[in-house]
This record gives sequence, C-alpha cells and structure tokens, in this order.
Amino acid sequence: MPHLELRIMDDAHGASGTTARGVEASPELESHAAALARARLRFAVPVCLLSFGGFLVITALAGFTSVLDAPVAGPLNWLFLLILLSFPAVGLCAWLYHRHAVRWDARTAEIIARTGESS
Amino acid sequence: MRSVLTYTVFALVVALTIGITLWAARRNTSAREHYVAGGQLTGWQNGFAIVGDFVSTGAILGTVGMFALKGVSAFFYVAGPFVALVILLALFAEPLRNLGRFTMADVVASRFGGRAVRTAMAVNALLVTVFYMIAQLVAAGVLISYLLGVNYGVAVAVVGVLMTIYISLGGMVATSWIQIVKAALLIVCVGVLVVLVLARFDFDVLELMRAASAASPVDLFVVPGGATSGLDLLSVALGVGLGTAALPHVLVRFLTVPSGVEARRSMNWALVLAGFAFIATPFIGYGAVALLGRDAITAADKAGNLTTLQVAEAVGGPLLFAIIAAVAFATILAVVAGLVITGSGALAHDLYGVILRKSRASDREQVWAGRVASLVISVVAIVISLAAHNTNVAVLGAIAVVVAASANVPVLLCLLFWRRFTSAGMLWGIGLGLGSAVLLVILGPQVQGPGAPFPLAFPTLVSIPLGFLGCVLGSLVGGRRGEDDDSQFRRMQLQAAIGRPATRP
Repeated sequence: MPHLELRIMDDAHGASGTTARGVEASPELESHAAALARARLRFAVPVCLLSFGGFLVITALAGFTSVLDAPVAGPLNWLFLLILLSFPAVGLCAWLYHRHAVRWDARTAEIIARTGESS
Repeated sequence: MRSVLTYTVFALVVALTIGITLWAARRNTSAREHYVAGGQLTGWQNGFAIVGDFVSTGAILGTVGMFALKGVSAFFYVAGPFVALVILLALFAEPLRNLGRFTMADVVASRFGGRAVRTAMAVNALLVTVFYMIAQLVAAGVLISYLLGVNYGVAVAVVGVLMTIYISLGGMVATSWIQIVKAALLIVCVGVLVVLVLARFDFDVLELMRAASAASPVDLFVVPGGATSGLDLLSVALGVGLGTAALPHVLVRFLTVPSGVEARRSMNWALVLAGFAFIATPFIGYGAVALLGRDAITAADKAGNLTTLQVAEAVGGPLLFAIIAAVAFATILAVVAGLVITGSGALAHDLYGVILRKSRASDREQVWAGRVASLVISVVAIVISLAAHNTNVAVLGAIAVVVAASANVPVLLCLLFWRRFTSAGMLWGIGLGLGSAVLLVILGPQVQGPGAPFPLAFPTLVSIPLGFLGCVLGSLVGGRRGEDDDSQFRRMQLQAAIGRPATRP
C-alpha cells in the first residue's frame, strides 16, 4: 500500500477553520479511514433498511392491502399509529448513530495524536 | 381585502429580513462567506437552517390542507422526508461536510478530477434548483396575491426583488440567518396553533379525530386501495422522501459548519424541530375539518392550501392569522433564497470559476461572479414564473425531487463507498438517473393527464434503480480504471475521516 504524504492546504481551501494542523498520514491512519468507511456502512445499511425500508413496507401495506385499516382506539387505526411511531423510531436511530459516531471520532483523534501530528 | 394588521405584520417580517441582510452584508466579503457562510455556523444554527429548508410552505400549508380533505395519505408527504433524514445523517452528513468546499461538485472533485464530471454535477444541481425554485415562486405568487390582495405578477415580483437583495448583499450568511429566524418563528407558531386546536377538544386527541371523522364525507384514516394507487403511494413515499433529503440546497447546508461533529449536531437539532413541525400537521388538518367543515375549506381554496390560515383565524383570531401568513411568506422567501445560493454556486463557482476560469479567479472575482450568477438565476426564474401562472407547476417540483433522488443518491453513495466506482460511472449514473426521471415525469400523468403512457406521477420506483444501474454499468464498461484511481479513493476516504483537506506533495 503506497504511503501517502499529506499536507494541509491553506485555509481558503480548508473547511476546518483556523485550527487546521498538519497530519502525517501514516499507513495506520489510512487503514483506519478505510475501516471507518466500512464501519459507517456496517452501521448505516441495516439501520437505513430497517427505518426507511420499514416505512416503505408500511406504505406498501397501506396502498395494496387494508390490513392497517383495523382500528386501535376509536377512529385511530394502525396506519396512523404506525406512521406516528416512525417519528420516535427515527429519534432512536439518530441516538444509536450518535453513540457510534462518538466512538469513531475518539478513535480517529487517538490515532492522529499517536502517529504524529506535525505542527 | 385584508386588514391593516396583516399588512403591518408582513412589513415587520420583511423589515426583520432586510435588517438581517444588512447586518450580514458587512461579513459577506469573501467567496467562502458568500457560498457557505464561512463554514462557521454552529450545530444548532445550522440545525434550524436545515429545518428552514426542509419545512417548506408545501409542508405547512399544503400538507395540512391534504389532511383536512384527503386524510392520512398526506402523512406520507411529511413522514417520508423525515424518515429519509436517517439516511442523510448516517451516510452523508459528516463525509459531505469533510469533502465539500462550496458545492456538491466540489465533493465529487475530491475523488474525480476532470471537467466533464464537475460539469455534469453542476448542471444537475442547476436544473434541480431552478425547477424547484419556479415551483416555489409560482406557489408564492398565488398565496401572496390572496393574502395581500395584490395581483399575481406583483406578488412574484416582490418575492423576486427581496430574494435578489438578500443574496446579492448578504450571501449565505444572510440566507442562513433568515432561515434560522424563520424556522424559530415557524416552530413557535405551529406549537401555538396545535395547542389552541387541541384546547378546543379539551386536549383529547381521540375526540379531535372523532369530530374530524364525523365532519368529513371521506374516510380520513384510510388511503384509497388498488394496484395503481398502491404503486403511486410507494413512489410518492420513495420520491418525496429520498428526493427532499437529497435536494442540492439541503446537502449544501452541511458545508456551512466547521466540523463533522457540528454537522452531526445540526442533524440532531433538525430531527427534533422538523419532527415536531411535521407531527403537528395531522392534528391541525383534522382540527380544521372538525372546526370549520369541509365546505368552508374547499370554498377558500379547492386544494386546501389555505387551511392552516383558516384554522389560525378560527382559533386565534386575526392576529394569529396575520402572524402565520407572514411566517408562511418568510418561509417562501427563505427557501427561495437558499435555492438561489445553491444555483449560483453551481453556475458561478463550478461552471464559471473552475471550468471556464480554470480556478484562476481571485477571491474578489469569485464573489462578483457569485452575485452576478444569483442575479441571472433570479431573473430567469422570475420570468418563467410570471409566464407559468395557471400552469401545473407541481410537475416542476416533482421533476426536481425525482431527479435529486434518482441522480444524487446513487452517485453520492457510490462516490463515498464504492472502490471500483469510476468517473465514467458517475457520468452514466447522472445521465441515466436524470434522463429517466425527466422523461418519465413528462410521459406520466402529471403532464399527459389520465391514461398517460407511464402510469405513475413520481417515477422514482423506476428511475432510482436506473440511476444505480448507470453507476454500475458505467464503472464496469466505461473505460478502464486508471492506476491512480485506488490511491485517489484512499485519499478521499482519509479526508472524509479526518475532516482535513490534503494534497500529495
């Protein structure tokens, strides 16, 4: 695996504001970045399939069948209730994502600190 | 005719936005300020601004009216985009912020060089943005001419002149702060309205639903069945959901924050606030039909676009009516301003700055080009909107979200995560996704009417797979992968991870 040497361009190109400092791209950092992309996919694909896919399943059930028309309480039926519940479900997904992302950030910071942050 | 009160509240809102613009104009001196507010918005600020872009007039006025007249099928128009925010958060928010500079074409350029790729991405963004803007402007003209009793042309011209002032003076700084203030006002208004409506039913939600059912001749809790309407509902959920989340002016919002962490924070704010606004819509809509009756709603507007305002007047009197009307007006102004900024980025930064001037333009020239581009886009959109009165503009909005879902989603997904993706794959993906989306909308019932050759109003069920197919086919057969491609991919991954742009020595 070729070793890439990185240097930070001036702030006009950077998006990281005034705190940008040089990062020596070690092979370790590089493989961490690749692992991070894989970890993101490993988390996001099932979560997106469950949330957005689940929402599409509700949609299909509502469009093609009448099973969700059954009442829950008074005029409230399963269709309305399930769509309503998709809102807190989104909140749950966001909370789970937040927990993962904080760990990913900590690991990135640790590797950068260890493998050399040039001035 | 409307009261003095309405005019006064409108004038206050306009004065507030002009004040924000003048304040922002002092900061708006560099290209970075103009396009992405210097990348210095904090998480909560950008979160409010995302809500501002996301919760458009269509969501607040259109969806509430749909709930009142058609019932629960309206829920798909707000729940779809909301659930799609999970995809935006988990897959795109942080990588986009770490890779982008001013536009989505910059994100693509972090992996693929070359003019064709940037041009394709910029043209794609420009098309989506201008179409979406015309749909917004025409809707704005109709709404404002009703609210203020002025004619349609005057209403469109007023919106056009105001948005041109915001952008050319205040750039993205002004646009963002107008969005933030507007989103805050909107959330408060929705909160007040839903509390007042629920108070009429002693805060008994089931009682509200019962009253709505009793007052409506159509069943407000089921969607019409059948194979075509099932497919239609699915393609609406998919198209409106994924499409809204992938609109260029929403994606560009992630470039206005200083770090991936802030991008994530802004999404958390956006989820809470947009979730609240969206979840309130059925209660306001059902409350409207229960309190006013269906006939009063259709008498004011056949599509029910004025339902929210009618219900505001019924439960809160003329003051609440005036405030909510003014906030709806501010919503249109702010969304249109965000669209102009995004379009001007594609035109001035991508096409002029990078392609024509080969990135040799000075910062001053870039700001200047950005302002001229904003002006050009505004004028074109206003002229088309004036001519498009009385035509079906929903089709333009539909093309915009379907193209965003069918071209942007496959291309960005492959770009960020697929090693064997190539620039040829990108061009094929945009070509097939965009081409099939536009073609199928034109062949569909929104343009051809009933009995159209293509049966679905939103062709996303077909065009999204075609977008992915283009990405895969183009990558596999469209020219060999260069020696450089793998290291370029690793370089992009590294930048996406550490959030710091870098070059090889």
